[in-house]
Amino acid sequence: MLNRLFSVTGLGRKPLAAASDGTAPQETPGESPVLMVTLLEVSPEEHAEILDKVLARHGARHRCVFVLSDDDFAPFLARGVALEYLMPLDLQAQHGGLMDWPEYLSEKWTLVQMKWRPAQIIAYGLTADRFLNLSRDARDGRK
Amino acid sequence: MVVEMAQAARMGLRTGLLMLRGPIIRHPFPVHPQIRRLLDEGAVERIDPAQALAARLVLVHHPSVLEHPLSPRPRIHAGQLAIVLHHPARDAAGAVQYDLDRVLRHARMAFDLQPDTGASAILLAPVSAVVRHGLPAPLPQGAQVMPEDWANLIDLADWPVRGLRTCAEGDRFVLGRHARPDRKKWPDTAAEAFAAWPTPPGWRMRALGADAALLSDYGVLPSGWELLPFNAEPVLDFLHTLDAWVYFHASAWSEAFGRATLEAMACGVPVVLDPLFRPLFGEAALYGAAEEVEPLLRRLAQDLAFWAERAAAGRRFAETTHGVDLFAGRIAPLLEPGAQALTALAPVAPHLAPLPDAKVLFLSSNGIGMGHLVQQMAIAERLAPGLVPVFATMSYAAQLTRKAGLATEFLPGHRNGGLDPEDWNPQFAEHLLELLIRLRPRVVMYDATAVFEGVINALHSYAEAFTVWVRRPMWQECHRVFLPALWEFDAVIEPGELAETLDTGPTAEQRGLVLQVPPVLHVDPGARLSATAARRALEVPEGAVVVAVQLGGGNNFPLGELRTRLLADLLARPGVVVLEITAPIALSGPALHPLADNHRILPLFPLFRYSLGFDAMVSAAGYNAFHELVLGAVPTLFVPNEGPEMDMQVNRAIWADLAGLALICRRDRHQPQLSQLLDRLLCPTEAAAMRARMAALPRMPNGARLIADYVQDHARLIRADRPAGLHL
Repeated sequence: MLNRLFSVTGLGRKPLAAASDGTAPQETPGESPVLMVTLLEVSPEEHAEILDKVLARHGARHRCVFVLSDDDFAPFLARGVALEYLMPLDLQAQHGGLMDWPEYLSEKWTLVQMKWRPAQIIAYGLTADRFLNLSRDARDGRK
Repeated sequence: MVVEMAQAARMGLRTGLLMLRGPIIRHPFPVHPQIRRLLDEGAVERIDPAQALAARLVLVHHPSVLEHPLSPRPRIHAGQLAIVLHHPARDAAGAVQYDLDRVLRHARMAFDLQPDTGASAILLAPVSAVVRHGLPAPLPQGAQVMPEDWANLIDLADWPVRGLRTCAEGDRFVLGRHARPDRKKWPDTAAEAFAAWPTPPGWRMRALGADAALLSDYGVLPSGWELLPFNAEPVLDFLHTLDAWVYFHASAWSEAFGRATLEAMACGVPVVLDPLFRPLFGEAALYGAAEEVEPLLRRLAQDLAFWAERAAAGRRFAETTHGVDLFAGRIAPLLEPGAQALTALAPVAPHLAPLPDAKVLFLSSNGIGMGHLVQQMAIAERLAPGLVPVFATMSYAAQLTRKAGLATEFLPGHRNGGLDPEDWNPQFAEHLLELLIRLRPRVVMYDATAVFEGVINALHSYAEAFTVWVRRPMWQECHRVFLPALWEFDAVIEPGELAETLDTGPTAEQRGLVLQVPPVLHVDPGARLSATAARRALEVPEGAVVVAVQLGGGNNFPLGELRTRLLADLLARPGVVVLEITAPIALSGPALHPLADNHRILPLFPLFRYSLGFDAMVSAAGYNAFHELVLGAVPTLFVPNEGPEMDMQVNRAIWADLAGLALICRRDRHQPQLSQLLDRLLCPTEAAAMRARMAALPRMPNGARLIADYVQDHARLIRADRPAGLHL
């Protein structure tokens, strides 16, 4: 992992103070916790349904951030949720000669978490770890 | 340099050109067209900084390019290394122009020289006696000066002689001068200048490369003076309008040579100079102090034989002391020892390896819109082979470039999730820097109006790319805050604007600092489908009157009411088929449904490709659509988006309306006249007149092509314009 060069904190949010007993930081009362929902390698046809389900269940109490590997953002924009994007495996393979995508995306995933500081992550489709492992496997298979 | 490279090719030498960006010129000039022609013709081969190669002789032109260490370090074994000194180390006032010791130190850092042969000394080639006399003795670091000056060379074939002066010209006499627009290239005082270029009745003075602002301290200029901007005329044509050439400069300036004077001589234009130039031009010129010039000119004007003798003397001088044939004698003695040194150092590969791929990152802002992405696609699609475009965008329309087969990364902007820019900027910088470090682009093309701190910080931190900000004109005043960002990029390019005369926005102030290119078009007008092919592809019935409608607008400038009126009017007209073009990527708003049988709704990208199949168009006046439709001569009713964050679409549409090229319908002004406007748009006579006016607009090359060429030249660049190392 590269050292962080710029002063980064959770966006729109103050850094969370660690509890004195070393347990996970707590949300300030009144601030909606971030729910990060990954839809990595999930078919776009399923996006609308997942979106509806997640927002119905968690939308009132959470700020929802969706992490996609598909670039059809329309349904998400229509619902006004925040988006992040990790290039899908097939496009990584297509553009594999440009750079080390798995390492880049691994770092990007770290940055995305630093940015939003999610209280909880829900995975539809592949988990981020599984996605990144498959990305590395594909890269190594190409070598 | 162009002459020498061309001559080297004629001599059968293989010449590589490694481009350096030096510290003197900040303006983003493109590569000189004559150098580009040599590259295109293969007379000279482009070299990439990453290519390892050996050369019998390496010539470094202008010592200023070694004021800083070359970065990245070239991978070149030099049999012999010569630095051509185009300028004295100090000017006439004693001010240091470059530090020779530092120049030599950096030359040794940059190139591999064989230490155990006689060829290890760096050679200095002064271009004139002025430069030679300014060299220190002894020379630092064992450098050796060439025995002969490397005077500028000229290919006489490029400079045909003007005709002889005749009796018929009588008292008419034209004197002139040509120099880059620099105040130091003019005498200190008005009195001196007015004496040097006198204009009694019947005489005129033409100065190429000057304007009134440059000479404002002279006060009111003589009425016989004609000042022409730099490059306003081809130099040869300009010289052929002159009867005499006169040149004087400021007392503090020291001219190493006088290329422009030599060109005048080559053309057979008699020359009058400050006596300072006698060591350079000897008996080929006339000399006198400023107040002595007029008598010399009078003799030239009145004595045809004297004029002809002086014209011939100049031409002869150019031929014998600066003819291009001298080049061979200059470099031949260096090539053999260079070859020997290389043999001792490293085997010389018979062929240069192919140019390595170089990545170009197209970075753009904006959320819903696609204008920046389309403009970048126009450039990316025209990049030279070996340049690999990669896109990173904040636009939600990222799939536009992905679908075109281009690698596309999406980096959300601050509006994604409603974030505070103060928090978002450092995060964005971190994301972008991560991409830059891993991708390692040679050039970053940033296309946007807004320049975010996060973008600047990441680019500065990476520091290894040549950074270009492509920004369109027609800004609104609210965008003024972004003007200072010009200084954060290596170059700023402004695509041309047909409606430039109505551009009252802030960027007009910086026009002299940017590279202006003709309008950028994604699709060249000539690359469109024929009318028949377009209609067939669109499945439009024969004989229908096809009106294409693309209003854009959206949340920032609602056009729902106008759309309703527009469609009702058009659809009621017999024989009309309305093609309502939606964005190729649906990003917002409810789905549209056809209102009648002659109403079709379809995404179409690139729309302009089909435009010969349209009888008329109703369109927003965004940059891309406006320029394509006007230059493609499509009769159009423009509906400008007058949203507060947009560029001045309204002025574009007004300009086109006033020029008779198109019609305008402003949402809040012209709706009551909408029907009459559509009558005019669909009137065959009026449409034909609009088409004819649009077709008569001056033809220009596509700006996208010129930008792509600019990218090519800067993707294989060595930086010599800034100090090395970190500066804390």
